[in-house]
Formats: sequence, C-alpha cells, structure tokens
Amino acid sequence: MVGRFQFDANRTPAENIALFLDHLDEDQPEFAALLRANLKLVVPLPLQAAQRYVRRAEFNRCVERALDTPVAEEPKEATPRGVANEPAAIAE
Amino acid sequence: MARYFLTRLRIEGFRGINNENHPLDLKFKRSAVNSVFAPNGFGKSSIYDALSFAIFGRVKRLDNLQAADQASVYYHNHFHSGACATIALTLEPDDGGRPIEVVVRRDAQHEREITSPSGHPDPEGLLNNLRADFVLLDYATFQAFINDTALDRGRTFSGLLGLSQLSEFRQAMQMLAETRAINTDFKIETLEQQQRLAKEACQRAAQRISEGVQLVLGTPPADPFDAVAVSSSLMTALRRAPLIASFFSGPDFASVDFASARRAIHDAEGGAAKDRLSEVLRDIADLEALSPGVAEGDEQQALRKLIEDRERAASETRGLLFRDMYKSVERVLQSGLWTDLDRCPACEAVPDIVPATHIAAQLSRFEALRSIEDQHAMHAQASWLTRLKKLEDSKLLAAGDEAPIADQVIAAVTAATITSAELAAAIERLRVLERRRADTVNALQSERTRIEQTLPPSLVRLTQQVEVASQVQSALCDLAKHQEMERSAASKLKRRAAWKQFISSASRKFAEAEAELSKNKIAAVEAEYRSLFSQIMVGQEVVPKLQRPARSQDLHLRLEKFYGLTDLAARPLLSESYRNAFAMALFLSAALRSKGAARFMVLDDVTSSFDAGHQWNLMEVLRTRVSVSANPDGLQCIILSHDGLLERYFDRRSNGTDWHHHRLEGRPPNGVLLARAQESERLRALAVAELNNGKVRQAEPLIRQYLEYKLLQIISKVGIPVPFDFAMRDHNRTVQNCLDAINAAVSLHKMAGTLIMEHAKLVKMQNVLVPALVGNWVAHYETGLISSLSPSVLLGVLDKVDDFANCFQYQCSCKGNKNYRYFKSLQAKHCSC
Repeated sequence: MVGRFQFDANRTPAENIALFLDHLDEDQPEFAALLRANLKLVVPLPLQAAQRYVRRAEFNRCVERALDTPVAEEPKEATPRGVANEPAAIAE
Repeated sequence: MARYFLTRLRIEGFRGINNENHPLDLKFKRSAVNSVFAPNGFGKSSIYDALSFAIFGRVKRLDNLQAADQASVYYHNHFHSGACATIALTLEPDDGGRPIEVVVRRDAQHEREITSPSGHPDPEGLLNNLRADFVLLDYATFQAFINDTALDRGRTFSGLLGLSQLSEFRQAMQMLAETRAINTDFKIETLEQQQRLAKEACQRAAQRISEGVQLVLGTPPADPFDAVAVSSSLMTALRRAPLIASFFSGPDFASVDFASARRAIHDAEGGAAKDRLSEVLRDIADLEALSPGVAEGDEQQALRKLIEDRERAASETRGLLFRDMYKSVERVLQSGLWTDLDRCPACEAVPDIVPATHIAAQLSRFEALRSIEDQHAMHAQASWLTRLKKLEDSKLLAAGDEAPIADQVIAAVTAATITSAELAAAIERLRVLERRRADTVNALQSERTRIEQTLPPSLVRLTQQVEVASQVQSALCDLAKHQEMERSAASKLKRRAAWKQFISSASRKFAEAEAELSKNKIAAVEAEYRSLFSQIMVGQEVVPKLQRPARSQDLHLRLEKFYGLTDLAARPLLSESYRNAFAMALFLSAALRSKGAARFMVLDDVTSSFDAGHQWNLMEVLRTRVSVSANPDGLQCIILSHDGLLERYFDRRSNGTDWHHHRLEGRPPNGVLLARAQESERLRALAVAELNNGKVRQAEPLIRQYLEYKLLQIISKVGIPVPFDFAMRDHNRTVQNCLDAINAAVSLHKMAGTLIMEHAKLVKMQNVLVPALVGNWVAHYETGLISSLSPSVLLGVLDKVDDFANCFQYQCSCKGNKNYRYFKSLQAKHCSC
C-alpha cells in the first residue's frame, strides 16, 4: 500500500474521509471503489451490536459478490508443464 | 466555508409558547453576549427545546420519556388552536452573505417540514450542518459528560473536537477488518476445504493416470498432470495395434470411443470368457478407484469435533422459540417505541443488566451456533462420505439386508443435525464396506488370473490395455474437473486475501491518522481549557488534564495538580462546581476550535452549581474570551437564565455594546409571551390591532407589557430612585409601584423647586394621566376585571401611557430634526435645547 496517511486538521471530517478514500484510490482503485460503494451499509454505524453484525454481514456479502464477479480474465501461466512421454511400443 | 450566527428566532405554538399569530420574537446580536432572562415557567426552556427541535429534529427530554407518556403529542402548545408549531431561524453568514431564513414547522400530524422563505436551496442540509455538540448546552450536558463512562465521554469529546464522524468511520473500518468476521462472512474455511478436497482428488486422479500409463506403456509418465502428454503417448501406443488403430487415429483422447474398441476386440476374439475378463477388469478398476484416501481419518475427526462443538453451543441456547423472542425484543428496543432502555419490554422489569446488552449477548450465542452449523455443509463433501456413498451404490458390494445410509448421513451433515452416534454408525458402515471391497477386489483378481490363462495372451494384453486406457481417460476427465475446482477456489481465496489485506491496511492507516489528529487536537485545546478553568474557578492550585490512551476512544479526566499533589483522578476529588467548571472549560475550548457551520452556542441554566462569584466569572469568560465582541475567532453566545442575581449582571452589562439582554414577560403557556427587548412600538401596534378586532383578552398582556415597559423606561432613563425591594425583586415591579416611585420622585423635586418638567405637563400628569391609568387600568387589572373594559377605553389607556411618557421628555434638535428625548434627570436635560 502507498505510504502513510495524515488528516488535514483544517478540513471537516467529511472532507477528511473523502481524502482518505482518495488516498486508497491511488493504490487499489478497484477495492477503494468497492469500499466507497458499500460504505453506506456500515456508516452511520448502528448503536446496537446485533444490528452492526447484520450490517457488516450485508456489506461483506456485497463485497463477496463483487469479488467473485470476474472483471477481466487474468493472464494464464505460460510455464510449460511436464514433458510428454515418448510413445512406447506395445508389448507383443 | 461560511459559518452562521443566529440573529433572530421566532417561535409560535411550541411547548410552553403559545403566541398564536404573534410569535415570540427574539433578536440576537452577533457580536455581543445575548442573555434571555425569564422566571421559572416563563418559557425559557421552550426556547431551548425549540432550537433543539429545529436543529437536531428532536427534544431530548421528550424522547427520553416512556412510551406511555406519548411524548410526541407534547411538542406543540396545547392552547394553540392550530396544534402546530412554527420555529423560524434567521442565520447570518460570517462571510458577509445575505441572512438566511429557515422555518421549521411541525404540523398537527406531527410531520416536520423545513422551508426557507429567503430561498436557500437546501434549508434542511443547512440545519444539519449546524449540528455540533456545543451548539446547545445545558447543565445536564455537563453533568452527563462528567458522570459518563470514559468511553462515552471520549465519544462526546471526539464530537466536540469534530472527530466523532472520524471515530465512527474508524469503528466501521475496524469492524470490517476483523479477521474472524472476514473468515466467517467470506466462507474462507469452506473455500480452503474445497481447495484441499479438489487437490486431493487431483492427486488421486494423477495416481490412477500414472498407474494406468505404467500398465499400458511399461513406464510411468514424467508428469501425470500433463494431460496433453499423457493422452498423446497413449494414443500413439494404442494406434500401433492394427485391430484398434482406427479408434485412436483422431486428435483427441477424450473423445475416443472405448466401447467400440472393446467390441472390435470382442468380435475378433469372441467368447463369454473375454466378456467376463473385460467386466472383471472394469470392476477391479472401479473398486480400486474406491480405495481409502489419506485424509479420511482427519476428516472424520474434524467432523466429530464439529458435532461436539455444535452440541455444546446448542446447549448454551434455549432453542428457536427463545431466539425468536430475543429477536422480537431486539426489534422493539430498536423501534424507538420503547424508550425506557433500562427496562425490559418483555417482562417490564428493570434487570441488573441493560436489556439491549443482554439481548445482544443471547443473540450472539445463536450467531455462534449458526456459524458452527454453517461449517457442517462443507463436511458433506468430505471424501470419506463420498466414498461411503459410492461403496453403497456399488452393485459389486451390495448386501441384501443392508439399507443404505450415506444419503441420510450426508443430508444430516448438510442440515447440521447429525449426532455423534450417527457419525459413529456411518464410520462403522464405511469400515464394513471397505473390508468387503478389499475382499471383492481379491476375489476379482483371482478370477482375472483364471480367465487370462484361458485366453490368447496377445488379446488379453490388448484388452487389458484398452480397459486401462479407458480408466486413464476417465481419470484425466476427473483431473481436469478437479483442477478447475482447485483453481476456482484458489482464485477466490486469493481475491479474498487481497481484500483482507486492503481493508486491514486501510483500517490501520485510518486509525493511526485519527489517533494522531485526536492527540494533536487535545494538545491544542489543553492550554485553552486550563486557562478557562483557571479563570472560572480562580487560581492555579487545581490544574485539570485529559488523558486518552493510544488507539482508544476512552477519555479520562485527571488532575495534573491538586494543591501540591500530582496526577490524580478528577472525578472523586473535585466538588460538583469544580467538575462542572472542568466540563465547561473543555466544551468552551473545543467550541472555540470548531470550524463547523454553527458559530453560536446556546447555554441554558448552566450556572446552577455556581455561587454568585463563580457565575460572574463564567459570564466574564463568555464576554471577554468567547464572544465575538472580544475574540475575532469567537462565537456568538446566547445565555438562557432564570437566576435573578445574574439578571442584575445582565442588566448592568446591557448598557454596553458587548451585551444584549432580553427579559421574557407575558402569560405562558396559554397567553402571549413577549421579550421586553422587542420594540415598544411593536407591542403597541399588536395591542391596537387586537383591540380593533375586539379581542380584549388577547390585548391585555400586550397593554400591560407596554405600560410596564414605558414606566420602567422612564425610571431607567430619567434616573427615578426606587425602593430597595423594587430593585431586587421582580414581582415588586408592578405598574402601581412604578407609578408610586415616579410620583414620589416628582413630588420631591417639585417641593425642592428643582423639577424641570413644565408646569402644564405636571398638572396634566398628576390630575389627568395618573388617575386615568390607575382608574382605567391598574384598578381593573389588579382585580382581574379587565374584560369589563371596552376596546375603546383600552385604546385610550395606550394613548394615556404615551402622554404620560411624554411628560418626561423634551424636544431636542441637536441632531437636526426635532426629536423627543427623555430628561437626563428630573432636574436636568441632556442638552440646552
């Protein structure tokens, strides 16, 4: 991940959070976008613990769905695997 | 970003303020401390509540009532005929922009509507932006801050420092980065199990391939996983047998038709012995494919442990009926219908533990049980269970009297209902079938040897090679399938691991940045709150200190110095007034650092725990350090108070430019409440309007207030001496007492020959005006018979009030136009006009 992050004391909390998300964008835009898109599920944070579990599970379900949806095919390994056997004579 | 002062507040029909059609109108100066005094029951707290409702959308003291109290119907004034409340705020930006008017209305259906007559595009957003923890402060806020847990206090203080949003965000990030939660929600263990099973299946398929190639070619393959090389070598080898060459001439080993190849050999050779040999060889291969895997023991052990865990977790719950009950209670607690959160809504008792905490703990047990139950599903795919099913399905191993159990066991594992006894029975069944399988393989091998001895050797070998090649074809197919499964699981695990690393790293970074900002902010306010505390409580013997452990939300109140002692806890040592002063100093210092939209703070009866001296100190702190008048970065202060002694201070200060004082008068909660600072002309105009409409009852408080205002104005402006009781006690400031004081002073100066009032005015005052006011107003008002007077008589009273005031005025033309001006005193004018 890219280096350390610091808040700007002269900015509002909302602006600082936006800055933080921008900072994450620089390093892993795909995951940062995923976090941004689903943040509304966990912020504001419910007061009740049980409600928090529900929101967290919902957030992770959305992330899981996105992670399992292929965006672009990953490059296949080009490493040759094994050496073909020489055909052997059939025993008479 | 512009910040906003509150320069005007109008309230109608809210809580204790009726003021139907005549809103209570309070004007506040941005660069002065604004004070509002009202005796108890005169609507001061209603002003505070109105601001709370307008800005925060709620009135805390109503929200905290029990459901049975039906707090929602007590927002509006019950004497207001429209049963609706209107609160209008005028907000003035500090960047020189135009004032913005925002009207918050709560209608008879309890709907909250926000509009902006001045045309602000987002009045609701503007009000939301004003929501800072320091905007509305009362005594309870300070007390709660001191008495809260370190965690709650820390959260409040984070809010004051503008960090609560960051703190909330950090908690959310920490929740998302929690390893256990990620493992459960992303089913990491299931995926790892799938990957492991697929890998083992690949190994088994590779083993079959290797053995098959060894049998056909005489040497094992260099890499049994290399499907292309294995297929190619087998195709080449089998093509060399002319009888079956045509079946292996295609490009693809996977599509070779082994059934036709078998038929070709069978046709060339003929005989039942050959058929049987093929069958025996197939059976041997099939049964050998069902030999035990290396991980079976571990799998069984893991399932056994899981069942024990589940049974233990289930014993800690009390079944689904209780879970449903806990969920119902949780829904009730979260619905807002149940406001006494210390009382259980199910039994209506007050337990030792807070119901919400108890419910959360109970539900977490069900959650733990569910998590264990979820893990059962992956065990349904375990290799030993799959083998058990295949062994039971195998016709070669069937025993007539045995009912199959594999499907039942798999279903029970999937549904997480399997018991330890059922597991033991399944393992025993597997053991029996495995022994039967081994015996059957041995028997088939013997039969194979017997048949091979009766058949021509060359075709026997070819038959064997075709059958083995067929098995290799099937193994290659299995290998491809399981390799794909393994790749899929590995890919999913890799993506999840990357996400986990991302979210953990992001959470850590955010927490570090927040901790640093919090530390810096606390350090930044330290000098300020210490200095404010020292000024309020006078002296350096007690020096407060805040302590916040790293990466924690807790905030501890400490004392750096306490009469020579050092580093002690503040709460047990300090008296109530000192504790409150500590809290106030913190709130004020944090408010002064705020960059939020609100640039005003309203303080409601915050001096209750202070004696007169400390009250004065606090007022001086507000005036000389917090108020915009003394501090360019300061705040507009609005103080609400019922304290008579403090009002003396307010009165005295309001002669200057840095203080603006109002006094509430009238007849709440059913009549009209007015601020004395409201222009006397407006009072008069309102009274005239009511009288012209024949509304004597509505005009009554306005006339009284106008008369009192004018008389007190004469006393104040002309410097009429008043008795001590009149000066000190509010209830002695009656119209009669005012008239008495004025008459006495006038008589004194007349007898001394120093009275500056014209003779004609003196005669009119004493012979006409005073009798008229006493006769037409005071006598009737004090006996409660005001309604017997007609509107025209009361209009006359208003004129007499003006005439009376005029007796103490002279025409002054110092500033050009001729204006009426009050005498400087009863014996002198301000000028020579």
